[in-house]
Amino acid sequence: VTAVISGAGQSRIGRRLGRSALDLVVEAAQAAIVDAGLTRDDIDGLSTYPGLQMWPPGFSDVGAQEVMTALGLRLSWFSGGSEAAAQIGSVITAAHAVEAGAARHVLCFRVVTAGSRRRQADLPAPTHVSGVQQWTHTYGRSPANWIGALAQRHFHEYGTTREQLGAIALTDRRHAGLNPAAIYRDPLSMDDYLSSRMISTPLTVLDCDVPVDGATAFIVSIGDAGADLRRPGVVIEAVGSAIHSAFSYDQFPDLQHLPAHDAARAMWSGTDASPADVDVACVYDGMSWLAMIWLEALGFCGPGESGAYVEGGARIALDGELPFNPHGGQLSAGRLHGYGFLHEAYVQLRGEGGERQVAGDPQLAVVSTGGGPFAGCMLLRSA
Amino acid sequence: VRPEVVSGAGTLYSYSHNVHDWTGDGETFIYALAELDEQPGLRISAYLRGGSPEHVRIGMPVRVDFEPQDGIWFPVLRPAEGKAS
Repeated sequence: VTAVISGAGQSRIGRRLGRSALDLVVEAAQAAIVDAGLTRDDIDGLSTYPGLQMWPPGFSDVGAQEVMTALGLRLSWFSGGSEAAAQIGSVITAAHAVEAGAARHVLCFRVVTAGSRRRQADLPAPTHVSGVQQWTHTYGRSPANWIGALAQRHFHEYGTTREQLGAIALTDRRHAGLNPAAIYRDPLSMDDYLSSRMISTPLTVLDCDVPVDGATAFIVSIGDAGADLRRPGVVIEAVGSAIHSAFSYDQFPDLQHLPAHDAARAMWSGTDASPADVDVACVYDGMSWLAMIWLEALGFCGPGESGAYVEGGARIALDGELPFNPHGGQLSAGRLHGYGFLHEAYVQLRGEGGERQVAGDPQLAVVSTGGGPFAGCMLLRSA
Repeated sequence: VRPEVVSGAGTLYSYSHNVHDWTGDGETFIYALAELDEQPGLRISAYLRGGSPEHVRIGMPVRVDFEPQDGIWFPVLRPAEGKAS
């Protein structure tokens, strides 16, 4: 892959900002364009996930169409949609677009306003579902049910414990304490975790991410765009968007052959680097257990070993062998929905993490996004 | 592509006991995944009825039943007699 991430930006992030999604995207996009050293006239591509969606409220209130108009862009290429390798799939698509010569500088964005609009009573619930959703969305009321059942199976097969799972939430929270933009920053103890309110076994409220308002944007540029840019871009070393089993929350061979495993294998096949070379891991934790299975899929531990790997949290601490979610993940820094992990990897590789900066000048970062059938990952190398 | 008749017998692959009250009506439920006897890896998602959460075990035999809701018959799972795998 010969694409780089030349700029990144975020809007203000909060539980209830009361601002429009479009306003948040414009703030993040302008920050990313300035960070890259470009102007709006340089942006000739636009990519987003998942595009405009009416349900659930605040999931994606604006798509590419409104944003290109608001920013007055003159585009050679654009794309937006949810049928992609999870949220980061929209950035992978942008990388392929610049490699193919379809555009030179692609603005990628993801916006959520689920914090302000979380009272779902505001809109009537859908009365029917179709496609693959009919097989799962008819049953259960939340991803906590679908992901909870996968976690329960992991507990059954491998002896994973709640204390082990709790290491994800505790580590995120400890790191969020160092991130001024995080939502929840107060320390969390294992007793707090074990006594927290159960949502759907084995997942408690602390295993579920926090709905927020906020937008994240990146500029994906062609690798030889150096002269256009303020500074060399962070290199997209390899991407993973493979999926080999059914697109489904319940049809997969077993817990070691999920779409996450396909995506991770494809990513590693595109690089000489190996998991031992990774300096910082930004791993999707929309539900805590998803981070556990990503750690296995990405090869940081063996099949079924993620419980023992994260137990106690030392290994995945900022000064551990695999610094994990320095920003606090979606559990503590808010559901920026996938893009937050890529943003943090970029910040860390730029050395701009402030108090939460991983020591030793990190060179290689892995980013994973998605859960269930949604899976996409990326390996980034510092400029 | 067309539907195919199956026996309705299967094994509980996994489940999650939902205790959060999403709708304000106090509803709790067990969301379950059952693997059908006909084919390893072929599963259905449905609510598990007639089993208290303490007695639900992964690997227990289950059978499909149907439950009417708003004029539509939805498949549900019930604990079944028979050998557990």
